[in-house]
Amino acid sequence: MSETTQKTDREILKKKRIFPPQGPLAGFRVLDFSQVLASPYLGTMLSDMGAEVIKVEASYGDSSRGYGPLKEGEAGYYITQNRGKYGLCMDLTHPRAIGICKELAKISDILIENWRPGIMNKRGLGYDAIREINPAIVYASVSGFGNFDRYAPAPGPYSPRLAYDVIAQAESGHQWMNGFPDRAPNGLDVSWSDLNTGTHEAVAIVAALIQRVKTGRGQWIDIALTDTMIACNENLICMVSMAADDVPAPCRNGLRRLSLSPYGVFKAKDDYFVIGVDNDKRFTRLCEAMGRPELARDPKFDKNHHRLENRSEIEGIVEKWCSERTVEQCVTILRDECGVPAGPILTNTAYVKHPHYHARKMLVPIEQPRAGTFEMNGVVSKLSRTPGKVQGAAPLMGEHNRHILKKYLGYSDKTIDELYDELVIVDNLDMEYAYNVDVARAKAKERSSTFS
Amino acid sequence: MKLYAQGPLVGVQVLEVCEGQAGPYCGAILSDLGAGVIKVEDREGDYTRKLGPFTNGESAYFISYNRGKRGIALDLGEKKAREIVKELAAKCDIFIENLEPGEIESLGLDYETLKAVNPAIVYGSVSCYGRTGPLSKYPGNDIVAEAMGGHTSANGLPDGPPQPLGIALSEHCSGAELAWGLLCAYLHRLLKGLGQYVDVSVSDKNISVTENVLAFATMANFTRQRTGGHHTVVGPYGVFQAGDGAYAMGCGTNEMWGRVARAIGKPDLQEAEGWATNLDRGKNRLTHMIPLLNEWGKDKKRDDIVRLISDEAFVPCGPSVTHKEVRNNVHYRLRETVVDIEQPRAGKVSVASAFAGKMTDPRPAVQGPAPLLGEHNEEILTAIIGLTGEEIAGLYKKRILVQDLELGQPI
Repeated sequence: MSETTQKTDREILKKKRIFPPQGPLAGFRVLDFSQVLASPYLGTMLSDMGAEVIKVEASYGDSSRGYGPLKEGEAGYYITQNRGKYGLCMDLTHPRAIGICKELAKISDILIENWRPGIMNKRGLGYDAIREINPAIVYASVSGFGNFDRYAPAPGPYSPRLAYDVIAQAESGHQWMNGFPDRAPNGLDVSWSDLNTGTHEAVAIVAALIQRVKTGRGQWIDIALTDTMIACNENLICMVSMAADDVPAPCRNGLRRLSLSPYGVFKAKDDYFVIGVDNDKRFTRLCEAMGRPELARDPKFDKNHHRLENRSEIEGIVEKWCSERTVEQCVTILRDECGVPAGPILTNTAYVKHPHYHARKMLVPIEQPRAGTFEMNGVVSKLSRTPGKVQGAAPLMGEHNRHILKKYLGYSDKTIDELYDELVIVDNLDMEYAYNVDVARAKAKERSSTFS
Repeated sequence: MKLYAQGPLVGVQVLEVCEGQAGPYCGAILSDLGAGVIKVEDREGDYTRKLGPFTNGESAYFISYNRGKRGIALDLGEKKAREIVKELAAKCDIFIENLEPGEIESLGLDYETLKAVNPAIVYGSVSCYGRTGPLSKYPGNDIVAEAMGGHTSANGLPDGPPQPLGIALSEHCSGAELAWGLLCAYLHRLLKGLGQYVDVSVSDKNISVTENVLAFATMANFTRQRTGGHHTVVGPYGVFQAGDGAYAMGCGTNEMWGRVARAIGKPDLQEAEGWATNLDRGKNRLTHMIPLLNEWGKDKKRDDIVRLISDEAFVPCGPSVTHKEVRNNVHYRLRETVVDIEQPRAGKVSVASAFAGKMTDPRPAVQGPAPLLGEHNEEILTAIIGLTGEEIAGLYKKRILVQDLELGQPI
C-alpha cells in the first residue's frame, strides 16, 4: 500500500464523515440490509429525507461495489444507490454479528432488506424474530414475486421463485409493449422494476409510519417487483378485460405509443425528437403550430380515437412537417411558441449539462473519499418547509463500524478490537481498493487510536 | 359516501384537481392506502374519459387511474365553482394538482391561496419539468420527460433508432414519488403540526432512476448506448426469442451459464473461448449469445423453454407475457394485484392495484369503482361543507354543478 493512500484514508477517518440529518424523516433510524438496486435505492430515498440509514453489508460487500464506472476502487453504481448512509460491515454468518444486528434492530424504526425470501429467516433476522424484540418496527422486504413466510401478507404460488429485474419486466407485460411489433420485444433501458419498486416501497414505509403514530404497532410490508410493474400498466389490464374478441390485443408499437396519436419519436431533418399529443386541446395547438388549423376540425382527426383510426395519415402529415426542420426548429415552434409537449432526446452526457436540472438542484456534488468529487442525482421530491438533501457520501466498506457500535451499543474500543480480531466485523479502510480480510484485521487495532 | 375504507390512511382526506396520468395515479395510490380521495373535474371531465377503448361510454384509461375515488364536477370557469373547491380544500389534509403551468394559479387554487384558508394543508404538484427552473413554463408529459431524462436515447436496439418506452412508466413512478413526498410531509405534520408544498418533476425522477447511467456521465464521461435491454457485462441476461413468443433470462454467474449450456445441449460452451466468463458473454452477445439462443429457441415453445431453464437449470427465467396473461394469472389474483371491480356502466372490469405493496395492518385495497362525471356531487357537498339540498339544487340550476350520469359513447 502506498503512503499517500494510507495518509488520505487516515484523514478521512479523522473527519469521521458523520452527517447531521435534514428533512421530514430526521430522527428515524433505518437498518438497511439491502444489496444491489431496489432496496439500496429505497434506502437512499429515506436518507434524502433525513432518516439515519445504517447499511449493513455482509463481509464480502454489496456486489454493486464491483459495478462500473469504477474510479480509484469506488463504484459509481454503489455510490449512486448508497450515498448518505452509514456503513457497517460484518460476517453475517457469525452469531455475534447477528447479535449486533438484533441489538440495532431493537433501537431502529425501520428495517429494509431485499435478500431472496427465506435468507433473512435463516440468519435469524426474519420478521418473526425481529418483531419479538421490537414490535413497533416497520419491516420492509422486496422480492421478485412476494414472500411466503409465516407472517407474509399475501403468499402466492410464484413466491419461492428467484427473479431479477429483467424477469419482472417480462412477467408484468412491460417488455411485451417495448419494441417493434415485427421483432422480439426489447428489455427496458434500465432496471425499471427495481427502481420503481424501491419508490413504491418508500410510500409503503411512510404509510406504515403514519399508521404507527396512531396505533404504536409496526408491521411487515411485502413488495414484489412484478406487482409494482403490473400496477404501472396504464390502462392495459382494464383494456384487455373489456376488449371484445375481435379487438386485437395490445402489442408493442415501435416508435409510437399504442393508444395515443401523434405520440412518440419523430424524425426531424437532423435527428430524432419526441412529440406527445395526449389530448384534443394539445392536438389543436399542434395543428396551429404546423399552420394547418383545419385538421383539428376534420372529423378524421378531431378526437384521439379518430386519429388512431387514421393513424398513418395524420402521423404522415406530422412526419413530413418535421422532416423539413431541424430538431431545434421543431422544438422551438412546438414547445416554446405553441405549448405542444415536445422535446429533444438527450443522452446521459447531455442531460447532466442541462441548465434546467442544475436549476432544480438535481445534480449535486458529492465528495467521495477515494474517487473524488463529482455530481450525483439530487432529491426528487422538493419539500418547501422541511426539504431533504443529499446527506453525504457513500460509505467505504465498514467505514462506520466503530462509530455505530460505540454510539448506539456503547461498545468499548477493546470489545470492538476483539470483534475485528475474530473477523466478526471487517472493513477495507486501509486497503488499496480491494477487500482483504487479513490486512483489515492487522490494521484494525492500530486504527482504534485514530478513529475514536 | 362509501360504506367502508381500509388501509393505513383511513381518515385522511385528499382533494385532487388532476387529469391524465401522474396526478391521478398518485391519487389512486392514496385511495388504495385508505385515504378518502375526491376528484374535482371541470365540466368536460378529465380528458382521459375521452380516450378509448370504451364500454358503454366508460373509458379504460379513466377507470384505471380513478377507481376508488369520489367525483365532483363543476364549471371551473365560474367564480362560485372555484370558491366551492377552495372551501373543500379548506377541509382537506392533502391537495394534488398536475395541470398545465399557470392553470392552477388562474383557478385561484395555488398553494399560497390555499395555505391562507388551511395552513396545515399538504399540497403537491407533479409536472413534466417541475414548478421551478427555466423549462417549468412549458407543458409536457411522460414521453417528453423520458426523452429529457436519457431513457429514450438508451431504449432500443443497437442498430435502431431511439425508442420510447412502450408504457408511460415514468408517469407512474413519479406519481408514486409524489405520494412519497406528500406522505413524508403529512407525517411531519402529524408530529409537528405544519403543512407544506411538495414539488415533483417527472424529468427529475427520470434522472434519479438511472441505475448507474448518470454516474457514467459524471464520473467517466461515457455516453450510454442502446443495447436492446441486454446486459453488457453479464450474460445471457435479456430477452430472447422462442417459436411462439419471447422470454427473459437473467443468468448472473458462470455456474449458472454452465447449467444453461447443458440445458440447451451445448455443454462444451461452458468453458469455450469467448463464452467462459461473464465479461466474454456480455461483450460477445451480439455475435455469440443472442444468435445462438434465438436459433436454438426458434422451433420451441416459450413455456417449454421457461420450464427447462427455470425448473431444470435453476436459472431465473420467465415468459414475456401479454396483458391478458397477467390479468388471468392466479398468482396476481391471490396477491390482489389484479382485482375485478363493478363499474356503473361498463360492468365488471379488471384493474391493477395502484399501490402495489402488501401490508398486514391494515391491508390496502382497491376501494371501489371510478366515478361517473359528478357522480358524488351531492354527498361531497353535504358531508364536507354542509350545503343543503336547496343550495345544491340552485347550483345545478345555474349550471355551476355538472353531472352526467347518462354517459353515452363519446363519438
